[in-house]
Amino acid sequence: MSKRTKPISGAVAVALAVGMLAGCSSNPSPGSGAYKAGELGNGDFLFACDDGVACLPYSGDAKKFPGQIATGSSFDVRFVSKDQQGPDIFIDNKRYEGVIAQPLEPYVSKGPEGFTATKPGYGTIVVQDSKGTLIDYVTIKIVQPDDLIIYEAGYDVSRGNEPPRVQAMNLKVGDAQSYRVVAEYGAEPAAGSIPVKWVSDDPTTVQVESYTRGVVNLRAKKAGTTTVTATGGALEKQIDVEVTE
Amino acid sequence: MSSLANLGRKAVIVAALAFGAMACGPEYDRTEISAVKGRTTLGGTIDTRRLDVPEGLVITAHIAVWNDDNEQMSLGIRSKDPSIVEVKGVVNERNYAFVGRREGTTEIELIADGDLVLTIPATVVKQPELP
Repeated sequence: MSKRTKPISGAVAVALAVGMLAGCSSNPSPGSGAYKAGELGNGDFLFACDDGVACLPYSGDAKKFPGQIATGSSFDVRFVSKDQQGPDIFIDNKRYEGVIAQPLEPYVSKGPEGFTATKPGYGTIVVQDSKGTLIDYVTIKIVQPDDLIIYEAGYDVSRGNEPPRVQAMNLKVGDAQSYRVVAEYGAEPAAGSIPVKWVSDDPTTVQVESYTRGVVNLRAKKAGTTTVTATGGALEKQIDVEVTE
Repeated sequence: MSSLANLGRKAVIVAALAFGAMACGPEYDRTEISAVKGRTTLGGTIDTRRLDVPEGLVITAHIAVWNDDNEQMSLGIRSKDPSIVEVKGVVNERNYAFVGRREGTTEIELIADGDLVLTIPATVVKQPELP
């Protein structure tokens, strides 16, 4: 007997759609520390970004909302009101349409990468509907990083948000190694994805092959020593590299 | 005759008082500002005499305006300079948010039943230093 696609009934389709929506929801369980309560008590905020230690401990099914965000970093926040999120939500049986999160400048701005922390201080993100009615807001501490931590990109963030710091690099000719950077303030990692510029003093010894989504790929080209410099968050971090045969 | 004249005068006075009573509806009596929300540790305050809010932050308040019949009046609130303090309605009834847009001073006007009933001097102040 030949196989054929069986049409699904309306009820099954609805059940599937609901199941898919439930499956897509990566929100932590209610009561999780990943939520920061809105100041008006109409919902909670979740942090989101995708740059290793700077983001993952606070994103997805993370357990905590970040206590501080690095100036210059990009990030996102999502508003959840009694299991509702998205452009249309109900509060006290009244529907609010076109719900969006907006930054209060000059501490936070919004661009294609999401929100950007632009100035040290307390940044506010408001959630309002298309008529400008305020639904809730959250305040986030924005810090000027005082150090950069360079760590191996393969670090498992589930082990914690303080990865071993790379103080020096030892590579073999032909080796490729990937690294990430997290900003730090007051000996605590600051959340948010900061753009980092990587430069090798001697690209014939160690070449910066690529930098994508917070990950730099370095390749050892020939034996020798050089220095690579990571610049981000208005800071510079230099690492000595030794390449051997 | 004089008693008739007195009676007439009294009737006119009573009629005038009655007309006056009908013509004058309830009038503005008072403004109550309560349940101010916001990060008090970060500063910001509002009462009927002044509003202070740090730049880049929000404070919210429950504001009710009453007439002399002890009934709430319909209320509109506006900022004379929304580039300094922006006023936003909040989903929670009779709550208003005051957004500190940039450092400076302006005035917040409360309009009850179409009449300006209160003007509150408003200042957007510097944010407190980070700890």
